[in-house]
Amino acid sequence: MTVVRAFTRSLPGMFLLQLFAGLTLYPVIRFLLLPFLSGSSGGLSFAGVLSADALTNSVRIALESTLWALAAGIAIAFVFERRRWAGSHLTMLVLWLIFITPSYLMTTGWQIFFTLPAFAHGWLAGVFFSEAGVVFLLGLKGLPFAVLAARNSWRVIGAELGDAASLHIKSALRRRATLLQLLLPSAASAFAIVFVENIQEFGIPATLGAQIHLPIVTYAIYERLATTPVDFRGAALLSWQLVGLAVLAALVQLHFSGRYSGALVHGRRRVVPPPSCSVVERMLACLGLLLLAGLGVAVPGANIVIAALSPVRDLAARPVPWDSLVYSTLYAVLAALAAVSIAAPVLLRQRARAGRFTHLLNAISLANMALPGVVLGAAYLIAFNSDALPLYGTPLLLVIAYVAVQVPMLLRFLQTPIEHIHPNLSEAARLHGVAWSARVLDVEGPLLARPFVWGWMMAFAQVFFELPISELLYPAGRPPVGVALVWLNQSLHYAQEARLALAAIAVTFVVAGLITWAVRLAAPLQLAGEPAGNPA
Amino acid sequence: MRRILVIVAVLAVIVAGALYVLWPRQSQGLVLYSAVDYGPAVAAAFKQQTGIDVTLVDVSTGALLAKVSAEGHRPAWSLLWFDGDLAAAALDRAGLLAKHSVPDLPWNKTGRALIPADGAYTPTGLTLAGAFTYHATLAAPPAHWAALLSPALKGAVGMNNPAISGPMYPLLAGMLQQAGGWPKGQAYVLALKANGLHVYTKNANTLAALRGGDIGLAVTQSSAAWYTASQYPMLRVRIPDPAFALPSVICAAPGLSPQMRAAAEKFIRFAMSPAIQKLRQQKGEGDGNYWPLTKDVAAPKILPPLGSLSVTVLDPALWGPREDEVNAWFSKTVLAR
Repeated sequence: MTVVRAFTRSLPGMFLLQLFAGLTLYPVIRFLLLPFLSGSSGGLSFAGVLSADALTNSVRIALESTLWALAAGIAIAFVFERRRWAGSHLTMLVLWLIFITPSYLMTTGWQIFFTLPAFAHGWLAGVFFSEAGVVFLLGLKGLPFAVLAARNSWRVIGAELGDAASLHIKSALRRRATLLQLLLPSAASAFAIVFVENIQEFGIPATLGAQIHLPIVTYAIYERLATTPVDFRGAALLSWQLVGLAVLAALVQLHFSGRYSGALVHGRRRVVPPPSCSVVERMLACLGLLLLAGLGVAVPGANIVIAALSPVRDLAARPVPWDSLVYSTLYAVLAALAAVSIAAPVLLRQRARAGRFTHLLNAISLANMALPGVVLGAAYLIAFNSDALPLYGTPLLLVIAYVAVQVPMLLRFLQTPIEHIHPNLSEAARLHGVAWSARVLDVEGPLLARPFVWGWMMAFAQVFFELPISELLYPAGRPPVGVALVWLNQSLHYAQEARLALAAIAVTFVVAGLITWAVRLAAPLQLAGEPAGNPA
Repeated sequence: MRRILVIVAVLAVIVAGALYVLWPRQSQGLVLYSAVDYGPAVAAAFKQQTGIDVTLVDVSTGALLAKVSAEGHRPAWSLLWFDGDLAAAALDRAGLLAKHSVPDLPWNKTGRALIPADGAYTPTGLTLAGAFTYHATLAAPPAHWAALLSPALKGAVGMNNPAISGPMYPLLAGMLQQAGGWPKGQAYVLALKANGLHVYTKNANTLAALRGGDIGLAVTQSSAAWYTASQYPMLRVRIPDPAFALPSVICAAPGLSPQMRAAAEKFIRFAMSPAIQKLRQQKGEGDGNYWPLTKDVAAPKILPPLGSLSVTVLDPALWGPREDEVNAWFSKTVLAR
């Protein structure tokens, strides 16, 4: 009877997972196999398209940017979770602004900054228009991921573990090393996400890289897509390199997660209020915030604001497509909700029993993350433009493609926070006769609410500004914000573009604020000693 | 628990509302994939005058071509409108365009020269692939391509990357042709590189570099050049000798029902009517700065007379199939460190 009940309860989750696996597997595998399908090889081979230079550059740039983002992210997260500092909320705001500002807007802002006569030909411009500039911008975009991932671990490691380490480990060095080991799963999860995001990024390397002539794999893929008719087989062959790199990153994460992860949130956990910053720590934190706000927000943002305030010559000819804000909000709400709904059962199932299915799903979903958006969009278009699956041109396919990109990110991002929560908390409630629904809503729900809400907001912000998939799959007459921004940019309507961009950033802030407020209202969990209103 | 249930209920209402708003409702009529500025204005006028619905998909040229290629022989579009007869010829070779869709119009000489033999695309206006935009302070603006190699312009010339920016391939092909063809013309492009050529991503970046003084002369599509010069009085435009034709084209999808085919052809005739061509010039912003290809419409006053220019029409059958090879060569040699 119990087995039947458990099976019945797991059916919706299983259905969701299999649906996702199908929707993810089919288009991507079909696309990646294009070069090998009979009669379509056309003289293409791995050796023919492989460029050692491009591959080396892609890996080096992704590694450099990921490592600096990780180091800075762990330090910032330490201040958030282990110190009381008045600038924490402002820092979080700055990180959110960096996270939601699309890379194409940030890069353009910096480029225009360096067209100012005072900066155009100085040493700073020389540094920016070099590999260092690409690494800096990629790392900056990855920083919010790294901070959020590290915060979870710093919070649950807590002062109790520090005290325990002081009691049991004599050497101060070993003590610190032991505590740092507990950060490894989070660091590895952030590493996998930022690294994979960076190897498939095109906007930043194409904009800066084109000026410094730095060949990378995504550039080679875009070359294949710039010919007419588009060479999808060549693009697919090149995409295998990115998938391979993503698999390597995931293996790194799996290794650290399997070896060093532990359930640190349990019934006996007590949260000790963090101490205030020392004078030196406060000075360093202020300097960090100043740098982050200046380089990540003020410089590129000032350009957007100045452009938005400049007069528009002929508004009637090209009005700002404000309706794109509505469409993007709807697409992003649906896609982020669906992505979290799919990631949640996978992660919970993985925590309870990491079977082959969840591992397989994890591995498959990596390909979606590693493929550049335009390639993925084309894969979905080709797969779902048939009599059997006529989804192309509908909002549904666009949302499915968004979900397929966001789920892998969420699986990696949320894995550590879920593993940190001890299953015994729910088991204890079960032993005390608490019903399944009450356990989900009263025990698991409040504990998981925060990480999942953060995951939802990240997915929302990414989908809201998504560009390459949207351009290929958006349903006629309902353009999302990314498409509208590019449309304005290409027709040289910078003022309208800047106004729409600012409004879009405001919308994401309003939605994020509303959701945070709603979740605090619904699940006001606070462990003993934890400061009220802790945002994550 | 009650609060969580309330939140779940609110979420369900939001999801239902979103699905209601996004759900497809009616037949879309003609579906126009447009990468030209005047596409929305013409679509609205057509609907108003004929009552035939036109659903607009407004995207960049690159995304438009990627969509059409990916849709292949099951097109979701009825009409395409974009800049570049070389790309249209390539789509035609792949069997993705309907034949014989060109209407009978009072074509001028250049217009007739641009019509393909199988009528797979209709040239709707002429822009030029390479126009020189420069600061008014430039003492001796160049008048021909060889002048870009002069020491006075060392490190001062910028252009878009043809592998990323759609309208740049015809420019590159034109430069190669005027310097002796392929592969002989490579020497000219390499000489440009040796003279400090800057390569940017797209028009917006190249023209921003010009405005900021990073470069002294930008080589871009003529329509973008005139539009930028009209907004920034310190900039001037010069058309080089020779200039390379970059017509905008409309194509119809193959396999349309007779009713939709008739509607598509009606749209093409409508877009080429004198009244609508004037609308395109007025509402077309950058793209509105084109030379008409029919005798019944005058060019915008900002443009020099077409007869005063030396315009070369590139052969799509010759340069279309080379696009991949030429762009790959450009990336490997010109963009290489």
